[in-house]
Amino acid sequence: MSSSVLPRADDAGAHPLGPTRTPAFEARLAKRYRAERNFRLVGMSAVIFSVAVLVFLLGNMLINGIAGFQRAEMEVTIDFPASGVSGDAVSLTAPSAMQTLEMQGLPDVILFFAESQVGKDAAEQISSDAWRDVAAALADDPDLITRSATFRLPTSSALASGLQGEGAPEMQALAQKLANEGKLARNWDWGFLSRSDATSPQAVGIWGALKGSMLTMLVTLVLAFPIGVLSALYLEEYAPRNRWTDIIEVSISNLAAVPSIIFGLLGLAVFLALFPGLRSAPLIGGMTLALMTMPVIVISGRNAIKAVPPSIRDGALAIGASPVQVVFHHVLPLALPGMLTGTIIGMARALGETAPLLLIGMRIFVATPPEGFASPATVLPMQIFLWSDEIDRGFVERTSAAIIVLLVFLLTMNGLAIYLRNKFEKRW
Amino acid sequence: MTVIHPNMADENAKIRARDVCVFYGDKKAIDHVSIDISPNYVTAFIGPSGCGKSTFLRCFNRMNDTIGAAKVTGLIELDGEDIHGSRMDVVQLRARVGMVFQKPNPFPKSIYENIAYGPKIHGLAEKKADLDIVVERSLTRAGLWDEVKDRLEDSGTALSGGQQQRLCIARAIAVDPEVILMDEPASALDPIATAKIEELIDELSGRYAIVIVTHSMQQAARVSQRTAFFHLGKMVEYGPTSEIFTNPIEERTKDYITGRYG
Amino acid sequence: MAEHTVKAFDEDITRLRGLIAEMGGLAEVAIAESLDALVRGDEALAESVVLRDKRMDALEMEVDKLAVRIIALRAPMADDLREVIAALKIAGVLERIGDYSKNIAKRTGMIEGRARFEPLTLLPTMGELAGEMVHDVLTAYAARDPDLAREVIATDAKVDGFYNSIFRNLVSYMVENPSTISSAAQLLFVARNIERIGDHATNVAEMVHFAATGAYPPEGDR
Repeated sequence: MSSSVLPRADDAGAHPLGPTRTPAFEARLAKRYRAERNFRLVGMSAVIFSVAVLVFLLGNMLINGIAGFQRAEMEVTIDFPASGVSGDAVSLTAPSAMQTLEMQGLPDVILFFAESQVGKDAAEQISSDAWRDVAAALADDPDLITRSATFRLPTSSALASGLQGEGAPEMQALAQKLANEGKLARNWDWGFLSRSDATSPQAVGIWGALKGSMLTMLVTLVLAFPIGVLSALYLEEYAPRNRWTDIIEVSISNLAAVPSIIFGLLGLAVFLALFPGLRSAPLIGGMTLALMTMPVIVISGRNAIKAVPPSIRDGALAIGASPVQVVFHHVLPLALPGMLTGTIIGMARALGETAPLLLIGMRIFVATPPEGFASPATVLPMQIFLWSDEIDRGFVERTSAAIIVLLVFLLTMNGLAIYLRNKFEKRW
Repeated sequence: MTVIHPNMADENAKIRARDVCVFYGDKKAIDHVSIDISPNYVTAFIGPSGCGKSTFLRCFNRMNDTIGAAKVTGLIELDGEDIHGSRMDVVQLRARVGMVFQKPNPFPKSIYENIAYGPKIHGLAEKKADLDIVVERSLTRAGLWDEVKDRLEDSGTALSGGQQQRLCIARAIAVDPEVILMDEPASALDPIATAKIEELIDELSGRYAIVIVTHSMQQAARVSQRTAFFHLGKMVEYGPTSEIFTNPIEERTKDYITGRYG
Repeated sequence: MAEHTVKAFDEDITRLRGLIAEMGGLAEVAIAESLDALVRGDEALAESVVLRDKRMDALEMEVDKLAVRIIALRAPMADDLREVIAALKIAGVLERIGDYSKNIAKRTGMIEGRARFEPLTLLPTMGELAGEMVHDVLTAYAARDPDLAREVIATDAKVDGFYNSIFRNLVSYMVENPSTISSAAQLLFVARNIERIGDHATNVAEMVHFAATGAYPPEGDR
């Protein structure tokens, strides 16, 4: 710092802000400010870009999916007393009610009334399973059998497409005509959330896959979380530091990076060999996914445990806590938020996995929701995959609707975990 | 060559160390140290950085066990019982020999829980009424009761540095120890908090044997009655505090305390 | 002896010693000059001795201030502490020695008929001895030499002996020459002053011994 560089205070060309602001300094300062500004801009652009992509994706899903929560329905009024179908509160709510009504000819009754109200062509387009909806309505309210009632019955997939301006021209014309008469409309289809897979997009529901996902996730969590947490605790707190534990640590890190389909092969080779009758069961699916999730939990668990300051351990030891007490009274509560974060990440990944479950046979057509952990089931991403493969145009919206259900499930799961994590978060 | 002033041997010594060596791998951190710690006095360990005084202190409650590479040889007795013997339970030892650390380390729990934890795990008190008594007694003896009695459910980490350290002292007292080891307890505190800690040490010295490691000679001179000077892992001189600071025998001791060291 | 890590501490101690040395030098000069003035009847010299005593007072105050400052700022321990305390006390004693010399000088004008005053000749020798004690004790202080300090303490016996013989001498002189009583009485006081200087030098020697070893000299020496 030579004083010859510094202009004197009374210099005619002195900088107004002081004698140290030389031109060289000014240039450096400007460069520094520019760099700061650029960095901020780049960062903000990255964030905005990411948010934009996210908004685009979600928006797209939502727009497409909303349509998936609706279906085309035809209005038909059925006069039960005149129809010849009879029953009472007991017979209509009995488990065999469906068969009884079918034997009484309920499907033909519906066809008869529909023909008289909307014409033969239209009546043919009523879904062949529509009578089950009527039976269900009767089971809910047996009183209906004493009078006439109006039902909104699902139509065939062709007519539904026609209503949306696609498919065969004669269907489109028919749909338009019926719509103008007020007999055909797209209505909210809350049944989508309570039905299971079917052949026609008008009749599918997501509940089967949803319940399958819930059961599978439950198995995954129950297996992966305790094993992962206890492994992390053992490796960090008790295991001696030697070559074997180093090898184990490397192996677990690698395991977390293994492609998920390999776990499917493992599940096929080991679990299905052990339990051959449980193909496509949530139990097997859960076990396979647990294998995949556990390394993630172990890694994040170990990091969380490492982050617990040694002063807490020292303090606990010095007061006379045994090593087990130190771990469970002090280390684990402090490491739990980090472990839960890892669990969230692992479980979210498991929820969206299709590949490993393909190999253990969960890509079957399951028309009824699984009853327990051992019954055949499918999961949400698998259902989405299967529907997206279908030819029928009506499945497109249903697929988007299923994606929305998957996202909502994911958000709920994450929300629960974040709530739990915040509850356990303690500051030290 | 250790110089021990006359009349330092004590038949009623609380802690007796004979030829203690501590190795970190190959490195010898403590070299054949023998000392009697008396129950009636505050004993101070002084010495330059890295001389081993903290390491030696940690031998008394076997905290060096938690460091894998550390090896302790020699004899250390608490009330005549070998602390490395097979009959001595290390968890029990640490309840009898409490420790306060340099940086206050309260548990991230409530003040009440911090104090109650020790008695609970040692089975000294289980019912809430008993725990209440223990908590109040410990906090009173640590000089903290009046300041926190209305906020026992607040987190221990929300207190000021000086209060946190007194909380740690109260926590150590709650399990009714016989010895309290203090590893530079005031070095992270401001002068007023330091003075309060020193006053507390004074009050506690009648009830517990206290061994304090400090790098402040003035503090050692103020709080202790006996002082041991350590240098490069050896104990150089051990004697009454007034003698060590007015008329030390060893040249190295004199150089250190007059500021001629290094 | 190694130097302090904080060099300013060494500088302070050095300055303290310098002040003590200066006071000591002044004290020695005062003893010699006051007796010289007394014996030769040199009133001008006596006056200068009296005036120079003010410098002693000023130096004592400086030593006080410096010692207190060192204790407050440097927290001296062990031999440093003993040295500072000793310096405080020594400064006070030296100042009193200076006062005694001043007192001797003041009595110069009160002696009549010098030429025939025999006892006058004894005094310078006694004064020299006392002056040597002061000189030696300050050397011992500078060198932190307890043995030299003990020698000084031993010398006091000689000064006391001198005092006793001068006392007897003067008393018999007064009996034989009653007209000289007032002057002789003055000489008695002067001798007393020199004896007191010797005692004070002994005090300083004890302090030097304490500063160097942490203990006072054994009883027998004193």
